[in-house]
Amino acid sequence: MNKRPEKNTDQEILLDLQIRCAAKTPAVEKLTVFTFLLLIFVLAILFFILPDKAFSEQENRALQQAPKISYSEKPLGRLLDGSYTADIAKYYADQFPARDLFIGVKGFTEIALGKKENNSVLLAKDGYLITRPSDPDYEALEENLASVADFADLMKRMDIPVTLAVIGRTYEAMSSYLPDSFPKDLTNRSWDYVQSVADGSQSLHYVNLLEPLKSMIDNGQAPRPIYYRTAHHWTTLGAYYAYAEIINSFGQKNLQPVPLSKFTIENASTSFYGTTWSKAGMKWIKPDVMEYFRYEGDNDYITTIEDTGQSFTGFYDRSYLSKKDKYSSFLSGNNGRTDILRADGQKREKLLVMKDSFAHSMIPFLAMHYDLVVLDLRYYSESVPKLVLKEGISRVLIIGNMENLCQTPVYGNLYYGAEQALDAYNRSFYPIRDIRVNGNSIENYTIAYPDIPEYEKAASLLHDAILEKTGFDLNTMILKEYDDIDRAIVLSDTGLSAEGLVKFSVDGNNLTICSTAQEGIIGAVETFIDTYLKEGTGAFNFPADYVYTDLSGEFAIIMPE
Amino acid sequence: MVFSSLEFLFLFLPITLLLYYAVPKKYLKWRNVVLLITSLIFYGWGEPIYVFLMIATITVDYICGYYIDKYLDTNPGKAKRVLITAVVINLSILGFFKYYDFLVSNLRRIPGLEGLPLLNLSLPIGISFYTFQALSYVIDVYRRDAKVQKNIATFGAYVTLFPQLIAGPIVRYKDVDKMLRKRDENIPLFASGVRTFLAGFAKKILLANVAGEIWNAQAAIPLDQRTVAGAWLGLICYAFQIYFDFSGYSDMAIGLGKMIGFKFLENFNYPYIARSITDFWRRWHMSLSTWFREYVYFPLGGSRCSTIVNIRNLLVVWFLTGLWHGASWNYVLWGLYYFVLLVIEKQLLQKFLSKLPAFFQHFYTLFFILFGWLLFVFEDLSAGMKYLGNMFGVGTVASFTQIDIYNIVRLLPFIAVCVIASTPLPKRLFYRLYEKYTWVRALAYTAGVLVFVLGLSYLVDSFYNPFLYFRF
Repeated sequence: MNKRPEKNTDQEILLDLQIRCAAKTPAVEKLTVFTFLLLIFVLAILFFILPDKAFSEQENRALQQAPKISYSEKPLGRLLDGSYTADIAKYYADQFPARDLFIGVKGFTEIALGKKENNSVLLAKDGYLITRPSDPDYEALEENLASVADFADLMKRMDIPVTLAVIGRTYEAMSSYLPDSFPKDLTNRSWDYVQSVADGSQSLHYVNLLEPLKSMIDNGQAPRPIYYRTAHHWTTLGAYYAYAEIINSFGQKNLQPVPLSKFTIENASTSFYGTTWSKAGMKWIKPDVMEYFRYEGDNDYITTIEDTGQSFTGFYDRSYLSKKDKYSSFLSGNNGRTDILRADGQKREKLLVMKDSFAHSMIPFLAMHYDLVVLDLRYYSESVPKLVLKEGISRVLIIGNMENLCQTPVYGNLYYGAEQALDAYNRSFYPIRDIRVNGNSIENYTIAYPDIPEYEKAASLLHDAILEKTGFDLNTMILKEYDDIDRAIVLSDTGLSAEGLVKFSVDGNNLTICSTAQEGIIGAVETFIDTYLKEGTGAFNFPADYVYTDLSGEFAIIMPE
Repeated sequence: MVFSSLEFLFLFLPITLLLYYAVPKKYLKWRNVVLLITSLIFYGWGEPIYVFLMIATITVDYICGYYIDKYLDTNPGKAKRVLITAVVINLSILGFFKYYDFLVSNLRRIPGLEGLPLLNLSLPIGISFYTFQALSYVIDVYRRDAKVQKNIATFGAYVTLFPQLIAGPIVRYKDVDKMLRKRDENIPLFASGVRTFLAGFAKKILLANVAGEIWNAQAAIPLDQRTVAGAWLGLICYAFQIYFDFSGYSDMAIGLGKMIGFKFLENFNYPYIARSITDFWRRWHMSLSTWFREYVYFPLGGSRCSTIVNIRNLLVVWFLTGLWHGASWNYVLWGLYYFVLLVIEKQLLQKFLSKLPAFFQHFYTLFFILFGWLLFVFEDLSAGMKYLGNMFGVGTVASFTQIDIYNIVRLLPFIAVCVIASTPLPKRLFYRLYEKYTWVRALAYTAGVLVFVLGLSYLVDSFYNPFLYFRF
């Protein structure tokens, strides 16, 4: 160490050393300063001159635009509370020049450092990108399955079979491709749980779609990939195998999956980059091939997006093929309700499919056998049981990948509207759906009668007849004199008409049946039953339309639709 | 605004440098004015309303400094009263904004005081740092360690100086007094600043943020599912995160300072190579330790007094050091933890320790530093103690699982980089070779560009947010 001025501390010595070093090589110093300034100024200028983008295809979201101070009602307020500057920060982040390039540099660096993954995407064998499964939310899983099992019980009472088909994530199906040290059993508990719920349910048919596909992958049986390398979805081939599993599981003799050889493979795109690829930042990974399995007559279907009313022929919305989000060309992406019917109007058995996006590529196969109502419960909030009844659904398929089952309680609302639907279903087996008095359903009416043995017998007669014809199990009660009563069928021993004939009348919300001299109360009730409750008997033949009105408009018999 | 943000690097910094160097060198006062204005904008970026608080602080301390200087010769009593006024005002502002809710939430536990209102004020950014700097000015003037600053813009520039405004180093006025009046911006200094800045940038973005992710992932694991290996990995990564984050920020500050002609003192001196707790605190956040030593410990009598008084002095300093880090008991506890360790070390262990092999000294030191971080990171003491238990197999599901092996294997290169970066080895090597070989200079230049591009990539990636529709 040659002579150096005395310094007080290590720090000052260091500072001095740094500057001394710097002074020694002026060229490098100049170049360093120049490069630094060049980088910050050039990027700053580029940021300003490059046009802003509205949408990021890679991220599938709208980008932050230049925040304007004028659009706010309180410009000073926005400036002072920091929300304006916060928007500038987002604007810089979203519109930064060569953003994709930097994302790629980061992805490359992480892998080069031996980290085996970037942004939670694992680089697996053969260039497969596999999203790390997130920590399961067992509460969501339990809620989903409890809901599905309850729903299956409900459907069973309506004689509609329900199948739950659970799809494996790439992580599970392609576990043999994972980096060697990466654990393969992280999600076993979720699968075991689904199996246990299925085993415990009398009404739910469970199809595990992971095992058959996984064994094909492990044994190298499939001619082409079953899962995409760059997306979290299965390929159309994977969807085909799953379709065959599902159709076989229905166990109907006359229903067989269409063999693979019947399809013509169309390469819809050879440059499909999925969402996993966007997330991974590993730009060197090659794109996937996306296939359509075409078959004769696959254009004889009309797909209708019920959310928007928009419809198209066949299953494919090819406008997506020119965008990044090519998978959305199946069924035109995620929509709340999509109906697929034959174009010629021929009606077939109706299958209700509740699904996530995995099912989109399977729909063309299912459409060969069923009319389809396809729901995505993430976007559909009306009552499913009511829909089942209204659409005359004869079978239900709930299909989704495990990730969705254990992340969001998407099936939590499945039971919504179940009681009314079940009721309506049961009611549909009775010849009379309802009797209305002054607009009120008699469902909660009471049969009231005076404390006389003959009247008690008549009340019981009426109760049984109403139960038989409508399913309503009305209460009976003894009516004391001067009791005020509302919403009742009153058997009365007063108010005989001058003619002494049977008289049925509506007063207020009550329906009154009066005893007559000739028939007594029992006879009067029998006349009422014969006249109004026995279809095709007594004095009236019921007309074909569903409402028959007598006793003025305040009394109505409602027939099933 | 923080240095590691895109709008700082590509909006604020270019404009500030442009304006600063657009003013000819001979008008240094106007360069200081540029610094004051740009620094106020820098400060106001995140919490614009508190700019007014900052201006109030500057005004108060400027006036107080002026009167202290005025009366110091003629009327020392009056000068002292002005000093006390300044100290009270500064500490009151700090106390009100930083500690009011903490104080009230503790007072509310006393019966009868449950009704005291909480204010839920957001903490003005950097208030702990700039209040201490402002205090150092009035005290230094009073002690005649520095000359009074008559130009309020220059004084304002000192308090608000954007490089060290938000997270230090805490600059003492006497250290920058001369630089405010005369400083020499030049290319070698600027280039050295670029390198220091980039070193800090790399520490913050490439090391601290990545280590932080690992720690967050471990901390997020539910209490009943942790493993011993995972708990250790997590806490070690937290130790790296806090060091690289803080020292990275200090380096960026020092680097930016050099770009505009300031030579700030280092704030960290490889604290994790310390051989004792005493040594650690000579190396960790040195500007804060210096501040407390100068303005609290020495005035109380320091160590030149009886052992009992000395211990009292240490207790005061470490209580305050803890409290300075945050308005919560765990920080106080963290400060007192070091008080206990330092007293034991000083009174009992010192002689014994220095005879042990270096390995044991390092082991002992790192062991206690690591557990100190548990107190620091968990505001809830019982959660911290549970984590501590996890590290020794209490309440864990296993010693390790396969995912731990996977993580440790894949993170080994990263952790190795962190370990090496925690030692002075790279810097020593750099300066030894840098002077000698041209290729090392070329390499250093290339490395600088690489670090900038890499850091930028990680920065851009952190805002990259693919919207995966299957989640929604």
